Amino acid sequence: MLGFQAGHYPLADGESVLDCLLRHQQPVPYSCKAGLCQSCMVQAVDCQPPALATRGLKATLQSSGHAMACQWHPDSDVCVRLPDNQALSVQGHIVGLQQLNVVVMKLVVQADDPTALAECHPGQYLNLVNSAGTIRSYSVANDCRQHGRAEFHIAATAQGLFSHWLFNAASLGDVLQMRGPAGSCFYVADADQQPLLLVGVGTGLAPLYAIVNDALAQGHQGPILLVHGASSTASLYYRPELHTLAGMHNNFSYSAVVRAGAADADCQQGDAAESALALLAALPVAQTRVYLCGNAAFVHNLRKLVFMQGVRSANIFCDAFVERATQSN
Amino acid sequence: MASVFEAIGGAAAVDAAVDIFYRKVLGDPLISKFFDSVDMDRQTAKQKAFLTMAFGGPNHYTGHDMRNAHKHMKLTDVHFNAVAGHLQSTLAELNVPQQHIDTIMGIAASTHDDVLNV
Repeated sequence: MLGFQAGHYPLADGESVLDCLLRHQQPVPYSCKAGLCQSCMVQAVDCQPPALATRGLKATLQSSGHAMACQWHPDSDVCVRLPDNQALSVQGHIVGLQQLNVVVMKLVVQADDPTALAECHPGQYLNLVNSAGTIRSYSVANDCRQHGRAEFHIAATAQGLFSHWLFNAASLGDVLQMRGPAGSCFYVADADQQPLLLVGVGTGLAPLYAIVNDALAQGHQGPILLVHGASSTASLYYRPELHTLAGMHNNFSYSAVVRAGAADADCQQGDAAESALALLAALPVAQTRVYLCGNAAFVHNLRKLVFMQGVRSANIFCDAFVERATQSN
Repeated sequence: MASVFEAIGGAAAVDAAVDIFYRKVLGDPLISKFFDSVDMDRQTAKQKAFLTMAFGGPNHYTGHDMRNAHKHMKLTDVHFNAVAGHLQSTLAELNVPQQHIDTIMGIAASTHDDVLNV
């Protein structure tokens, strides 16, 4: 039997999950039916997809239960859902509001049920819904799995409805709903010697901070290089924390790059993408895993550049921030 | 008799080829715009599907699918030949034996009319 959404569908002999769902007119997108295009992606619920159904998927998708429905031929009862299907909302309360600099607010939310975020890999994102019904996605900057307490770094944007509420109206104790997690930007311990290059601009530091801490906590041996880019030193944050972390771990190094303004002792003036490419040039490029996070234009541009410089596409993980076009829920 | 797909290493050969091929097309100003995509993972998956088909591997593409996929791109022989050339040089870079390269280029050539919608 195949469980999907609220229904249960009998599987014909040797039938794939995709064919079974299509036979029952269930809405699963698909295309090549050959385990290549990944259009028919599903997520396993309380079961393990076979290797054939996960072949070729990125490490982060494999470790979060994703599989290709066309290649999954179950030999026992299974249950799947469409990916990123945020069926459940987790309720939480604001337990921390701290302005990190002129433009960035650290928001800490405690889930009422401390086990509710146990599936959230450090670096994934959650959708936050405030009491006005405004819903936005934010990357988690810490490891919230054990205690259900999630940290977010939220930038004030000119037209930002959620950030406007956060900076002007939000208070400790306010209720927030959280949905997810989603996203493929997190640490996977499949190659602990490989170099990791993490480049974030602005609050793109948030998931990268989580990933760096997670990698170090899991005993990553290879070099971990973090570049944080910002428009000026006033938009940087967490510099002391990152310096401390670099002092404690031989294999972690941190550099800050600002576009404008006098750089100080440990912050260069320049372009974050250029700095990142210069660091990459000194690394074994085919073994390096790259994480990119920040505004979409920056991420897409640097992603192409690192790929062209020889980083394998399977080793590039992106979390591109997209601003909502209009001031609406 | 093993198919050319199996002979050159099957899915592993596709994995080895896709980044090399994708870099070549992205670096070619004549055709890069067709491959430059916001969703690079999805593009990579499409390239894998194309290479699998070209290597004689399992796929379910029909001529109709190829026609539809390329219908609105206003492609000409110049574009087709550019992509074919990159496919050939990718295979050469991977030291695929010439007889297999010939077979694969033959499969790729057979898509000409569908891809160009002629």
